[in-house]
Amino acid sequence: MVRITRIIKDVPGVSDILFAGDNVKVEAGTPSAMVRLRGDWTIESAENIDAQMAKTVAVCGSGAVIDCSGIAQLDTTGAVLIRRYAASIEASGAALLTGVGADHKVLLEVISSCPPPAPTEPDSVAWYLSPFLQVGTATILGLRSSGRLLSFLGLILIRLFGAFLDPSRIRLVPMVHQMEVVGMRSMGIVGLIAFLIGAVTVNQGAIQLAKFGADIFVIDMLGIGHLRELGILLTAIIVAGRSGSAFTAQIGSMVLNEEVDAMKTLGMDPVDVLVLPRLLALVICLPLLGFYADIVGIAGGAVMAWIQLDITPANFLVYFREVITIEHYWVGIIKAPFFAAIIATAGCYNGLRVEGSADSLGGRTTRAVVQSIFMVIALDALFAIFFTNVGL
Amino acid sequence: MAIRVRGLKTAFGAHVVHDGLDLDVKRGEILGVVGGSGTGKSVLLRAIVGLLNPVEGMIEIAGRDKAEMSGEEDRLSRRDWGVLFQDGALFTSLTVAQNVQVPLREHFHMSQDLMDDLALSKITMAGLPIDAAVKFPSDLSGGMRKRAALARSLALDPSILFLDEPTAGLDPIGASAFDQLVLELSRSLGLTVFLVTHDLDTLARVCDRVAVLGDKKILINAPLDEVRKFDHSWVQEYFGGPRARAAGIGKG
Repeated sequence: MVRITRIIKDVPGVSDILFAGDNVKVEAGTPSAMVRLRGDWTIESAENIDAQMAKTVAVCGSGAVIDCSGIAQLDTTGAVLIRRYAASIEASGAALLTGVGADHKVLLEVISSCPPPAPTEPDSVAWYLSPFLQVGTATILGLRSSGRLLSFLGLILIRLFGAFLDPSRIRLVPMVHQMEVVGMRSMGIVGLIAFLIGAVTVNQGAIQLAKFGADIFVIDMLGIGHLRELGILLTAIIVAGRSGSAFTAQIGSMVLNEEVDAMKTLGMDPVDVLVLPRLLALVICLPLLGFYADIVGIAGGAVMAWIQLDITPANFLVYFREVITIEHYWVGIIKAPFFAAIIATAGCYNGLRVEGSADSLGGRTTRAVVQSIFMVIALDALFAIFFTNVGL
Repeated sequence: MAIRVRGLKTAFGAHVVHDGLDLDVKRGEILGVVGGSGTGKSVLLRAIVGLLNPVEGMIEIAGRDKAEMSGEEDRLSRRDWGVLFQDGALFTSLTVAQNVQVPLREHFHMSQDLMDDLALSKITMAGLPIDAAVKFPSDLSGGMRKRAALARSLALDPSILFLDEPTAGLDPIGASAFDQLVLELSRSLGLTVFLVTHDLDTLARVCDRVAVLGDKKILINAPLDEVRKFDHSWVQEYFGGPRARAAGIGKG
């Protein structure tokens, strides 16, 4: 603590100037140097003062008398600077503050009663340890979150089963609203992408197959590829990016706003109110979207076949009906409800797990999309093996 | 004159909040703004700090018309005021100390060491314990968050401080300490304070003058004693109620 007095100890006689800057002048004196502060000590000149005072401390040696009578304007930043450098001068001897004007005194007293510096950032580990820490944390978090996701899935299934026994618990209005948002309104983007992918499949396939003189088989390729895999997989990925992330963001910001806690105290179950309508809406809409993507994708292929291979749409359809059986369609579309469940579960789970900060909301949204796309593709691979083994 | 508002009209669509509102805030004074819910206290604050564009009217801060300032001037003039939002509005992904340093980092190029020192000083000035500096806003209680937000609004040593319901949600001890803090700061730093509040104790203890919002205008802007005698049903009810008596400003 620096003492504050109003006694001005002027050293008589001519003094040597040890250092002079815009805001400070240091004069040699006995027994200690005289540091005269001058000009405005405000936040505007803080960077300047900081640099000047670093030099001042260096020339002061063992202690100094700090004369504040020359200060024109002082604000809290200036006061902090005075306390800071008085303390560092005192560290090498003694520092005495003099000539403090009455109006500045209050300010200096407020500031000089501040405790010494403490860290302003959370503790961090040494750089060479941090990779291990990250791996360890990520592993534990990964295991924990898989466990939690699984238990969340269980919770949803229990609530869902309960809702089938007591259908009045299903909230129809939010469900229909969600169906419009996740189903109806994504038809544009799903249709566009399915159409383009269908067209590209035919375009590229025809070029390769033409080398074997087998370009008519591009229709087989389109039909099987699009109906079994591409149509529904693309739809699921688009919906995961579009609606899965929206679920997380909506529910997450409600969590941050304590709306979810409010629901609990009002006797509403967040799973019933927030999760089930979204889950059911997606389970209903994704197969429909998948069917729509199938049709549009094949239409895209047909258009490309007409342009590139001169196969008229009528001929295309005749050939298509001959080679593509309905099983291919069922193999594709049966996967849709499972994908929907994955997307909705991952989205809602991550939304409910948001805590604290805007960062957490962003991180959770990313995680929801990554998790759901990964799980959709992994499940798709399992389905592919399964259907091959049962001979479909 | 620190703030001068003339003929202010604000509206949300067809809903007019203020119409022909005039207000003066003198340099170095603490002005308390009161009014019933929905009279547009916060809207007035938002209009003055420029978060909301008024339909018409003139707002002058420190003698400069906001409408005539260029974008850069406007940005620089913002260094000169601090705003404390009702819920603090701290950046949730930063610690309290980092929150306080945000404006310093944005406007100046100080050494990290000095910024740490400044941040800690402001944090203690705002009455927070020093270990709160490394905490995230989500780990703080409502009252502490408010103090942290005050520390941030003081970071640039503003000459005008806008406080939106600073004592709402604080316990009486905390609220009275907050009042004392505002009073001390305004005296020692010569701060002009624009204070929106419902807290009658704050009005009685801290405010030099009280402005009452009602009927889309400022009904009266005067020291508390005069406001109390003002002949308007809402003002009479407000300052004549049991809570006002408890705060020692009622007539009874």
